[in-house]
Amino acid sequence: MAWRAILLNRFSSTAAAILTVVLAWNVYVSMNNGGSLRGYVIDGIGEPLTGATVTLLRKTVLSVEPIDETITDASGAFAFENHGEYALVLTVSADGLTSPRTVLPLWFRNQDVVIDHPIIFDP
Amino acid sequence: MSLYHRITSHVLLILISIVMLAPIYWVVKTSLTGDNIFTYPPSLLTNKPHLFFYVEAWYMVDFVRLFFNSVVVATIVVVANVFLNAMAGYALTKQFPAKKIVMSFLLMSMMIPFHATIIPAYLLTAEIGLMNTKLGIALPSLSHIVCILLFKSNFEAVPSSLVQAARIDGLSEWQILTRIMMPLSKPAVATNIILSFIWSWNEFLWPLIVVRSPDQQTLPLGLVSFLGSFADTTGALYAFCVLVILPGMLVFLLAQRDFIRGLTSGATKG
Repeated sequence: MAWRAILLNRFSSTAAAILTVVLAWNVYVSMNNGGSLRGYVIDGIGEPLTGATVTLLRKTVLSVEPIDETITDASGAFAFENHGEYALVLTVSADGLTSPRTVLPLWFRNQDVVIDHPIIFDP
Repeated sequence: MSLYHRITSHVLLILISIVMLAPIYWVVKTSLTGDNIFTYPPSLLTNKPHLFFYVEAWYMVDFVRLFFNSVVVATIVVVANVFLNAMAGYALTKQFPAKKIVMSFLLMSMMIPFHATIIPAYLLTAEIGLMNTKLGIALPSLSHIVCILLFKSNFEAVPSSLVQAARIDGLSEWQILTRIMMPLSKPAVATNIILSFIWSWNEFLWPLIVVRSPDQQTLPLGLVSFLGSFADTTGALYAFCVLVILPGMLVFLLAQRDFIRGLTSGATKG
């Protein structure tokens, strides 16, 4: 059968496989692109850092510019909504000191992220 | 062939393959690690490879637009090449006055480098109003003489009795071409598709001259813009290179069997 031969040849099967992967990836992206970012900060001795300022930065070709900031709660947790980035750069500031930048590359723009490991504030 | 000769030829082929594949390996490795050529100590194996440079390359330039433009241009070129080259190739299998002059003219045209024809091609494209359009980018690649000769040799390999039988059955020349010649010359069609696709996909100089606005840029032009704007992002640059060459490699790998058959099938008549 002609249609069977067309469907099973390597050109159409490769194209179908690529289309399937692209479609699945786009479905996954559309379900996970809310742009929420969750994480928590601890100090050098492992205690949650309360009241620290977490700054979200955007990396451009020439510079890194701040785009949003928030304050950690009693458990050291922080959150951003709709960050809109494909690579996250974070710094933590407290008591006049600022931590080195934490860079977190993402798989797609505005990806929902929960940072599993704590950001250690030990400048 | 003796065992000694077989081992020697295989070792030689493996060495040649390594030499041929080394640049590709280096590009892919750099796209996964970001280590540039000056990294010391140099390493053959990847250290902590990741795909995030591809994400960076995807978002740094408007990759979807560049890809779409390249696909549209390549599609125009491939369709036109199969259509025009097949017709020209079939015409050249016929006997007509001054056929030798036409053949000589075609062969001589092959000896003129494209760079020597850029100015007239530019003036012609401007005159017909196709500057900064996808059709304008595709225009000089709509037919290739190599592919015309490839079709000619493949059509000549089709038994003439078959053509005569078709003619007796009442088929027109157009029907003989589309219903007899083309189905019997699938390797030539595949070779045409691969060659025209890869030439169109990799074309840089002509699009650079014709394209004036970023929205008409193809992938090779995007690569140069990327290189100029983001010269320090080695990993993303190499990831972009891999994304540019991947479709061409995929098309070639899929059709390589037909490609090789297409180049050799017209070698003997019969």
